[in-house]
Amino acid sequence: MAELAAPDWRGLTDQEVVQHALVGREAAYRELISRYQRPVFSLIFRMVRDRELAEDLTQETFVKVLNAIDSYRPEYKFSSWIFKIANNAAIDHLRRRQLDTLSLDGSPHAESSEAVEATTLQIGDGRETQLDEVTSRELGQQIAVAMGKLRPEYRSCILLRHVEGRAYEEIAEMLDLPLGTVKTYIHRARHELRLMLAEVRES
Amino acid sequence: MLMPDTQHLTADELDLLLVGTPAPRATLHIETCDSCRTMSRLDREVVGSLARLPMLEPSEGFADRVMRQVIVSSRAPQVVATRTPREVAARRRLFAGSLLGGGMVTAGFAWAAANQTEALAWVTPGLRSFGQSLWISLQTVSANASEQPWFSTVSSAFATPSRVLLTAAAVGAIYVAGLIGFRQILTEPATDAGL
Repeated sequence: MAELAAPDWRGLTDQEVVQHALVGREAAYRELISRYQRPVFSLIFRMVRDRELAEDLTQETFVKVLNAIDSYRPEYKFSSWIFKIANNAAIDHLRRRQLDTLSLDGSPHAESSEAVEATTLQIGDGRETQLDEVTSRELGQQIAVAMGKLRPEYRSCILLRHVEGRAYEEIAEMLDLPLGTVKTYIHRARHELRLMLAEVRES
Repeated sequence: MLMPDTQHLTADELDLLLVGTPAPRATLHIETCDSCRTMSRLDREVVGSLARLPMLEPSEGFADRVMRQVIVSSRAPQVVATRTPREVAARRRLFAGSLLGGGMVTAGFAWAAANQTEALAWVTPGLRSFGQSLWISLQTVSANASEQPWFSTVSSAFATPSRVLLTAAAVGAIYVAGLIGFRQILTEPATDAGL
């Protein structure tokens, strides 16, 4: 059977590339990876602030998306779909990590003072934050550090809005949040970043 | 003399300032309020810094690592309808309207079947009056048309069977050209979700 000529991928929309993927063209899968690996990795990295972990979560996102390509609904933007899955992966991880380092007083399940002490030692020590603060000399780095202190929900909203340039409505759809909540999160995030910036300026 | 505007800018007003479409009140207020001016400046710096954050790239071989875990679809080629959320909503509205209309018509028929005498008593005078009005309208239109200066030209186009055929062919060609033209105009441009 004659092989079909490779299309000019750059000229195709995401939906069209997905159609090629659906008929089993591996090149189409690679094209989707090539289009989204940087924005998705950047988003996840800025959420979790750990390169290795960000790479694992990005990989997990792509594997999940590409293996479920049959369920993609073309009436929605592919980018919204993949960012939604990426954001969920990052948020889930951050929540798990928060649970891991939840208590400064040891595990609530510890039944003896030794157990309490042992679990207290497992708490995250914030070394990364301190290191970041020492090395953050430029505004961009300071902003990145300050972002790490925001609540994960604020962080994903502000990244999608001001780094990815997504509209409020699109963010609401991606994160399954009411529009008003998205606006509030972004306003609060910006307020906290403003305060941080003002502090930096004063010092 | 105008009183100074003492109410500070809201988050939404600061938003509009950021995108360069401030409300007139915000423009006036910011000229006199140091606090809001500072906030707006800091906002611009924060947003500017965020927008300038560099794109990061995963390590080399990322695509290969992903592809090793992906099962390439083997679905047969098929046409998948692409509908926008607006089209989906419009289709739903149309469906609901059709359902409602259909329900009302069915209910009307059911009632008429059950109450034939009453239904006929309602409908007969109306139908008679409608028929009379239609007949008078047709007479008026045809009388008016036959008095128009172009009538003789048009009627000559249908004077012989060959002329009728020729006219029908011309009208058909114009109709097809019109259809093709509309199709071109109404075709939705492709939308891209790419970055």
